[in-house]
Formats: sequence, structure tokens, C-alpha cells
Amino acid sequence: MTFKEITITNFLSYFEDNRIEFSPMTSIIIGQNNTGKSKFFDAVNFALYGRVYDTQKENWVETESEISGLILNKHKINEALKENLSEIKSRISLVIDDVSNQNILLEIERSYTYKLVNGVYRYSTKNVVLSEIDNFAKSTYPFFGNDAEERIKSYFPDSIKNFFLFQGEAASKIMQLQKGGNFRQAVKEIAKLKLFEDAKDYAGQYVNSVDRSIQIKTTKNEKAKAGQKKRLENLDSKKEEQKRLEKKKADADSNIANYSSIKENCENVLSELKEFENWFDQKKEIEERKKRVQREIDGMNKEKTLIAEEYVFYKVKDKITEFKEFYSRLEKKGEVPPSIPQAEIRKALDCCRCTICNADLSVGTDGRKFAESRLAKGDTDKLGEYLRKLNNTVGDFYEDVVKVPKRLGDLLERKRNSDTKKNNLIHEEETLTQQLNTINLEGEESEEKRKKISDAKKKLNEYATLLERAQRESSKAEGQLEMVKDEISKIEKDLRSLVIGDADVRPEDKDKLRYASKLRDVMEKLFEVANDAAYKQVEERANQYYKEMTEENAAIVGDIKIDLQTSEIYTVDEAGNKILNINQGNRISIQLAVIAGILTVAQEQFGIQYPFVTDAPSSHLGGDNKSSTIKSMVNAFEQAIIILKDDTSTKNQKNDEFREYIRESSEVEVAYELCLSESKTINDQYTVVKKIKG
Amino acid sequence: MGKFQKDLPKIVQEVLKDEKDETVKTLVKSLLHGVLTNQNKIDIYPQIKKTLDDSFEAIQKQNKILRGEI
Repeated sequence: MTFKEITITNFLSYFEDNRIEFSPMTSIIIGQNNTGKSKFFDAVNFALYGRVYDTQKENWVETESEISGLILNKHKINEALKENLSEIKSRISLVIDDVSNQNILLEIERSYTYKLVNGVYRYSTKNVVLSEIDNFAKSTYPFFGNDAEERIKSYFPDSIKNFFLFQGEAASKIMQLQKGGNFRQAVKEIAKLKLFEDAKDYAGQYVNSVDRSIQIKTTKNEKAKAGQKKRLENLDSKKEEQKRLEKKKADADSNIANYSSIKENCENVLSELKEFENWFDQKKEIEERKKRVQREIDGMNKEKTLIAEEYVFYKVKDKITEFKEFYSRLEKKGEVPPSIPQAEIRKALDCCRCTICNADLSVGTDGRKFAESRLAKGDTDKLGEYLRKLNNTVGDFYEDVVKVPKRLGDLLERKRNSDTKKNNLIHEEETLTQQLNTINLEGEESEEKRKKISDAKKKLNEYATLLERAQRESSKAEGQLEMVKDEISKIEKDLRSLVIGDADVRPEDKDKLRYASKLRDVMEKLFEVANDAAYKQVEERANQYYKEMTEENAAIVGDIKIDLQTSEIYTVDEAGNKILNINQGNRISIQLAVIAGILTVAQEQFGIQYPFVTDAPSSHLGGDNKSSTIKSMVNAFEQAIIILKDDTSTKNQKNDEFREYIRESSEVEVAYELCLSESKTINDQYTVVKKIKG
Repeated sequence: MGKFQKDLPKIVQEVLKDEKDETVKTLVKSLLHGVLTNQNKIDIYPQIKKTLDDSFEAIQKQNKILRGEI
């Protein structure tokens, strides 16, 4: 199969008709970010499989409702509204050359129609047509709807779609290739193992039916006939059950591959955002710590105030004692209320107050004014009463006051410690504030990342559960399958022994049975050999391409290994040990090499050729093996359509190499550049396709 | 598919190289051809059975002719 041309009409970023012709060898589509590269890849996928990649969901969507909401070109909508067009279409037409039958051209046309209803274009109908154009007979055979879908699948089976249509940018799909289920399906399809498997099954069935016919002819005994019939019915029912279990297991395996891929994808997202999450947790912790420190500082301040008050309290104690003695002396002398030396009273007033009895006698207060006015008038009588009260109050507090000196040392020590601790805390707070300033986690991007982490964790849990369930189902189905196979084998053995033991079998029938059995044995062997050979050949070819792709990168070592039991793909070192910690770029190189291996084996062994279409495969690759990977792809695939990211904006030296390679390489016969139209708004921008070579 | 019909894959040749009996070889080829040309079709066993029966009968007839029985 060789892609000849594609016409993309009002599809995603493509406005009106955009025709791109392909070289039978290598065609390159180059463009900067958001110019429509992946949309081109979508167009090919849409044409062949009716699917479109939803970047929001990060997955392929296949339902009419999902696709119809995505594909119609926005600029076309605006233009059509201006012209008041009653109907518009989003359409892809793909023309394919059937290289195994040179007279036949295939044309796939897939379209979605939208009708104008109340000023809005609403999805109306979809249409798919496959036309087989026989150039020799000058006739066209069209297939419509489901017939067309079935026919397209016979040319491009579902199980190989992620291989020859390689989505280099979407990590989840890349990972999927390493899951046994999908890979096994693709090898089975592409290396025609299914053919051998079917042939083997039919050979087995043939032996049984020959057996059965002989048995019917030769079994005279009615009872034996009934027993035989029962066995055969039982055999049929067991075979049905086997088919059902095989399907159940295949579904579970496919789910395992799918769920593992989604789970791995979530783990990758979490791993990519791990640093951010750590910073975020650290920020939260620092903020909480800062709050704690602030609370401690507040506590310190409060304690300091308390200590200061107690200290003052202690200081006045001497004065109180002094005053008490003075007052006692006066009382003894009967001089209460004599004229008390004003200086003494003032002294007492100055210190014996608030902290003792809450009587505020400080300068300017009412209490002070009262005391001073009595002093001025020589009215010591009332003052004496006041002082007596004061004395009583002092007396009440005296016991407490005398305890103060004992605590004073502690208090002073605590005060000093508090000061030091407070200083340390203030310093710590400053440091934490500085740290917080370095962690800039505000803004929409941060919110988006936090949401992404939360979503990924949720999805991870969800799919881990689904995966466990699928693994249980697969394992259960496998166990049941083994049991059913054993039962089938027993019944078949039983049936065979019944026939061979019959003396009435005609020589021709005996011969037929003998050959049918031999045919079954050969087909079983053939399937076994084909199975091993397919994987071995793919492995050999893959290693050849892997070496070519990575020859400029000394850091990449090892050989690709395909586990025949599990179909797992990995690399091993010289000692045969599995190499762990393979980076993303290297992983893509491995997968590209394996795909090249599969497609090459398919072509060499069976003359089946698939075009290789890949979206931005080099974006994840390291600088050293970018160029060699592109060159290897050009060499490896009969027809390669390579979509490349143009990095001119980053002045990337490798990009200049690509450009030069496109210009100079004789293998690259056709190249197109994608850019955006100069429209006023982003919504109105569309892809402009320019042919730059060929 | 033309390539497969004309020239069976190496795998088939490899498995059949030690097979001396031409009848077996013919039956293998008939079976593979039958499956190949009916791929993606459902319930083709009756067709396959007929192909194998016809092949077998043709071989038997040819053998009888060679032995002078007919």
C-alpha cells in the first residue's frame, strides 16, 4: 500500500481544499508548533480509522458525537456564516496505490456534514465511501457505510494502526507499543501468523470431520452412534467455549495493555510534576512553620510583658516595705495623721501603685490629683485614710511580693532566653520568607499543574483497580482455557481411537484420515515455526535498525530483545542482562526500530507493504541520535511520511541539519512546509500548505 | 497476495523440505491458499473442507491412473 495523495477540506486547522501529494519513497512535512502537523496526522487517521486525537482528553476519540464537535474548521464556520451557506462539510479524501495489484487504486472519502440551524452550524450526517478503481478494466467498485469500513479494515487491520501510524508526540501511545498484547497482535497480523493459525485450526477441524464421516459410515451399533454423536456435540460445544474464552482473554489482555498504558502515563505525569509537587509541599510546610514561629514570637512577646510586669512589681517591693515601716513608725508615735513629709508620700505615690493594687496614682491621674490636693492643703487626715487603705492593699499582696525575689533570677533568665529565642525565631522567619520568595508557585500555570497532579492521582487509582481486575479476568480466562483445551484434547483422542479401531473402514477413508492427520501435524509445526521465525526476524531487523539509529550516540548500548512468551520488548547488555532506566529518547528509538523490523519482515516475507506515517518522532530524541534516526527511517521504510517539528525559533543547529538534509537528500523526493495564515484573530488562523520540494 | 500464491514463504518451504509425500505438500498448499483467499470472511470451513476433499480426490484419482487402476 502506498499513499498517493490526500485532500484535507475544512478539517481541524485546514481551511477549504488542501491537496498534498506523496512520494512513493519519502515525503517530509515540516512546520513549527501549532501549524497543523498533528492535524495532518489526524487527517490520515480519520481517513483510515475514523478517529481523531482529542488533545484535551489526551486520547483518540471515535464516536460521532465527539468527532463532530472537534473537526470542523473555525475559519470556515466564520466565512460560511458571512455567506449564509446552508450546508458545509469537513472532509478527507485519501488515495492509495495497492502495490500488490498494480491496476487497483483505492480512494477513501470520509466526511461530516453540518447544516445551518438558527445561525449555528449543527452536525447532520457522516459519510464514508471506499472506491476500488480498476484502471485496467476502467471501472470503479464503490462500498458505502459499514461495507466500506469493513473493506478498509481488510486493507489496514486495526491491530497495526498504532504501528504504521506512529504517534511520536503522544507518550501514552508510545508506551503502549511496549505492551505485549498490542505488539503480539501486530506481529500476528503483519507476519500472517493468523493465516497459519487459522490453517492449523482448519486442519484440526478437517481431521475431526473426516473422523466423523467415517464414524457415521462405520458405526453400526445405535448405542455407539448415540455415544459418538454425544461426544461430537460435546466437542462442538467445548470448541465454542474455547472461542468464547479466547475472546474473553484477548479482551482482558487488550484491557491490560490499555490500562497499563494509561496508568504508566499517569505515573509519567506525576513523575514529571514531582519536583513541582515537592516545591508545593515544601511551600505549604514553610508557610505552616512560619505561622508556628509567628505564634511563638507572639507568645514570647506576651511572656516578656508578663516578666516585665513581675520585675516592676519586685522593684517596688522595697519601696512598699520602706513605706510600711515609715507608716508604722508614725502610727506608733500617734502621729497619724500627722504632717507626713511630702517627699516621702510623693516617693510612695511614685512607686506604690497600679501593679500592687490597681490604684492608678501616676502623674495626671485622678487618684494622683486627689492625693496631691490633700497634700497641698495639709489635709493628711483623708490622705492618711487613703494610705491606710493602701497599706492594707499592700498587706494583701505582700506575700506574693516577697515571693518575687525568689523567682526574679528565673524570670531574668527566662527573659534573656526569650530574647535570644525571639531573635532566633525572627531570623528563622526572615529566612523562611526568603525561601518562600524563591518558590514562585502562584498563577494559573501553578493551579493547572496542581489540578493535573490531582487528576493524575485519581486516574492512577482508578486504573490501578481496573488493571487488577483485568489481570484477574485474564488469568481466570487463561486457567479456564487450559481446562477446556485439555477436555477437547481428551475428546479428540477418544474419537480418534474409536475410528482407528474399526475394522470396517474403507481403505480410501483410512488414507484420507491418515493424510488429514498428517496435514494437521504439518500445520501445527508450521504455525510453531512461523511464530518463532516471525519474532526472530523482527528482532534481527529491529537490531539492525537500532544500531543504525543510534550509531552517533555512544551512550546508547545493548541489543533489542523480544520475549517470545510475553512479547515484551527490552534491551540487554553484553551479558544478556536487561537494561533498566532507559530514557524516553532511547525508548522511542527502540520502538521505531521494532516497527521498522515488523514492516520490513512483512514486506520481505509476504510482499505486504504499509506506508509509515509518523508524527514528530524526533521531538523526544536526544540531539545525537536525531539525525541518524530520521535518516534510518528514510532508509528503513519503503514509503515514509515523516512529520517534523521545525525548531528555527530556538536556533537549533540540528534543525538546520534537517533543513539541509531535506534539500540535499535524493531519498526525500517531496517536502511540504506548514505555516499559519496571517489572520486577525487566533480563531481565524488556518494552516497554509507550501510545497518546498518535489 | 500474488507473491504468496506463486512462491510460498520460506517458512513453508523450510517445514516441507523434508516431506517426501507430495500429497501432503499439495494438501498444505491447498489449505493455505484456501485460507488466504478467504481471509476476513466468516465461516469458511465448508469451503476449506471442499477444497481439501477435492484436492485429495484429485490426487487419489491421479495415483490410480498412475498405477493403471483406471
